[in-house]
Amino acid sequence: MSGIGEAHGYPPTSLTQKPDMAVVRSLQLAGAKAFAMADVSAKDLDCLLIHEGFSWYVIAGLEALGVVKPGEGGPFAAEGSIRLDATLPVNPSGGALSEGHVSGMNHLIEAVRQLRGEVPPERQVPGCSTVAVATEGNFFDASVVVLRRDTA
Amino acid sequence: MISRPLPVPTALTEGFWAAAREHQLVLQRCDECGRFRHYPQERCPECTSAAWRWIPASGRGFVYTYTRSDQPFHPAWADRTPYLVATVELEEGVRMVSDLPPEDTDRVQIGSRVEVFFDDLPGTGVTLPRFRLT
Repeated sequence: MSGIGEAHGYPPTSLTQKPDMAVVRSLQLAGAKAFAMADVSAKDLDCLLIHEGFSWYVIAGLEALGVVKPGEGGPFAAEGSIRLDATLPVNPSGGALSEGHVSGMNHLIEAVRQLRGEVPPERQVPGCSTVAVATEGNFFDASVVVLRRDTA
Repeated sequence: MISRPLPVPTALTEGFWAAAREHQLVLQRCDECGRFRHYPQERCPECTSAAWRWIPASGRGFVYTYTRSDQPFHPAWADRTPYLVATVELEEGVRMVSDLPPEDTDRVQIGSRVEVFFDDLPGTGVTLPRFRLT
């Protein structure tokens, strides 16, 4: 584990009162902390696991973590850039739609298995050595962890 | 037939519903920092003060976002589809969730101007503040 971050959005009360409902400020902050601690940026990630209690959260996560600019997350996903063989593989295990809603714990497990090379070959990210896991809850409290395989 | 669920006023919210019965829209405003807030909360999310009062609101705003539902997610809405659920941003800066009436279904846009109207539900003693396009 090389970086962690946790943050909470404002105001702490209601989705409808967020300054911009499509911007996940807590995830921006949590990601920035975790990336700084790990000394990585989104470009360094081999794989990204986003806990998506709602489908749009993958797009929101891509934007909040700086993988793409605001507004570009939808096209980025639609053009296939988050597929296993593309720019940044996201949720190769299928995410919550395939595994169930366990608040990101299964995403964390997938991240460790990807780093260890212990997943079935059809979803193994080649040379996977740096992974970020982003989780959220309650619209929008967020935490991000960066995991790396020790290659020394 | 299952009737629609009705609001259940609490000590915190009964002022809102009592004002609605008088056909007035009110908002909580913090006595300390002057900020409006909605939905009703015991403390100000800005300054945490517990001092507040109800203030009459303009009842005017715009559609911040909306969704159109072609499915009745409750049996009482079975004959009302399609219907719109909108998040309305009021001039006072807070947002409220409301349906929009059927005549607005095909003409609503993000940014459409809206105003409050009051729907006295027969036989219930409940008045719902709702919004419609101006």
